[in-house]
Amino acid sequence: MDWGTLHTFVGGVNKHSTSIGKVWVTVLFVFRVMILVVAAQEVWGDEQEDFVCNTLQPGCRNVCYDHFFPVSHIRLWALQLIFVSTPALLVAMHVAYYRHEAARRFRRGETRSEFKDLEDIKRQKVRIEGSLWWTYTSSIFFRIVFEAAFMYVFYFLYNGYHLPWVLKCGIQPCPNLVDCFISRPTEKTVFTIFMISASVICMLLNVAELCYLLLKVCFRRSKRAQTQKAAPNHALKESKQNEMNELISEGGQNAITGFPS
Amino acid sequence: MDWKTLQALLSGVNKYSTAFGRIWLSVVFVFRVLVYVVAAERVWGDEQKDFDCNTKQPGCTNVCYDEFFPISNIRLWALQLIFVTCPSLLVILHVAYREERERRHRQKHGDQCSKLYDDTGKKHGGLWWTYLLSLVFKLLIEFLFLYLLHTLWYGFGMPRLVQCANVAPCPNTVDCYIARPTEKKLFTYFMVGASAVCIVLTFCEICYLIFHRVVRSLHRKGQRGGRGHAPSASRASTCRCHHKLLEAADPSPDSRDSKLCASAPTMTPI
Repeated sequence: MDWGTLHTFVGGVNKHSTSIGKVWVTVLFVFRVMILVVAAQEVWGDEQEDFVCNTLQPGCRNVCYDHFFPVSHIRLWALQLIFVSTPALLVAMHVAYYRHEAARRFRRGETRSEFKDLEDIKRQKVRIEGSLWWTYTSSIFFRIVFEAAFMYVFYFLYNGYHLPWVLKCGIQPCPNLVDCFISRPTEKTVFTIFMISASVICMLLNVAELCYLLLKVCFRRSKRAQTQKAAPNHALKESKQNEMNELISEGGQNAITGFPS
Repeated sequence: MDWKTLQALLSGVNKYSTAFGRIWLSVVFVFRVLVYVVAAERVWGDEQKDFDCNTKQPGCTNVCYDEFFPISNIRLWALQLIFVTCPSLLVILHVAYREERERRHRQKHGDQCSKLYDDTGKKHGGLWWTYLLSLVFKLLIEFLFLYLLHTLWYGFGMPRLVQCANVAPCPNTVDCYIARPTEKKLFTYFMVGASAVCIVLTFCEICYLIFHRVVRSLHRKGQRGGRGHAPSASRASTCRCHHKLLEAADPSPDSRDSKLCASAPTMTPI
């Protein structure tokens, strides 16, 4: 179980996503998960070992590290990526439910004209409309909320996105105000800014996708309203023409059979 | 052998699970196993090395660490995840047993005979009880591990400082400092929360199964009041093939024609 499994989960939903959704998945796995796994984890690998305090007092280093880094960046990013990918599971479950219902109707013989066989049901791309549209939109909304929440948590916990090279610590059992030095602060700042930027890009893509879905629905509804306006006039004309045709044909028949009018 | 193997084993259960069961499996693999592997394991990676005691007495740090952490949180969670996912294997075993029985029945009586089970994966008869029992075991295991976690570590917290008193070879009451206590506390709460969500899902699934069964049996009673004897999904052990009935009853060729349109096999619900 690792990031590859999450990629399989989320990748499966990709088939039914919009184009913006597909771009989002690529950005997520290439620019965030992959960077986290191949680079960021190495940078933060020695974070507590090389967190050095100017004291020999046992326990002071531990306590100071815990005070300044209540949760490591790496763990926060891992949780952020898991939470941000999870709403896609809602869509996957909805699609699975839809296919289950379609398979059940197919077995009963109700939708034989729509699908050739059960495999066809599994292969067919499900359109984002009806209740699936609501599920998909909710999943995008939750993604945006989770991204924003984690970005705020980062800002709140670390007083910004910059890591200083020295921290002053005076917590028990440190005997006085002690200087503590973080390992690789500049490299960590660079990666923090990179991950935050990738997070912002993903958020913008999600907002764009949400706007696209809303516009699509509005456009579809206005098109339907226009078709309905034109259609009643057309239907009225047709029915009047049919009545006239019937009258003509009855009149003709009466003339032939000599029926009294 | 790693978590992927367990995931492959358990993916097969999905076919026979209810919707709650599928959600439960997703929660376990995404919010518990994945978080364990990519994040939590590393937090506890350096726990003994960075367990710092205010003493120069050799052996005191080791003894104090052992006193406060008889078993590491991370190992306890690994055990919990394995034990909690195992009852689902009972369901797979039961379905495999039914399929084997069906295969032997066909081998013995041939393809003309009707099947023992309409669908070996359908939760009727014995499989319903196996599934219910697996859910009950899951609940019990979750509660047991939560209780152990709560008892061994004085609640779900993780203090910054622990005091090691009256433990040889420590000369006096020694202050020991745990590495990353806040991060460990956060992950403990997260894992306890995920465990609580799984408990709720399992409980809902048990209620759903029982409710569904009650509704089905009431519906069947209503049908039986109108029609008489209704067929069951599992017809094990009393199925007799119609061609064997013919052979046993009357060997004379004259009566054969009238018996050709004879009966379906007798069925007894289980």
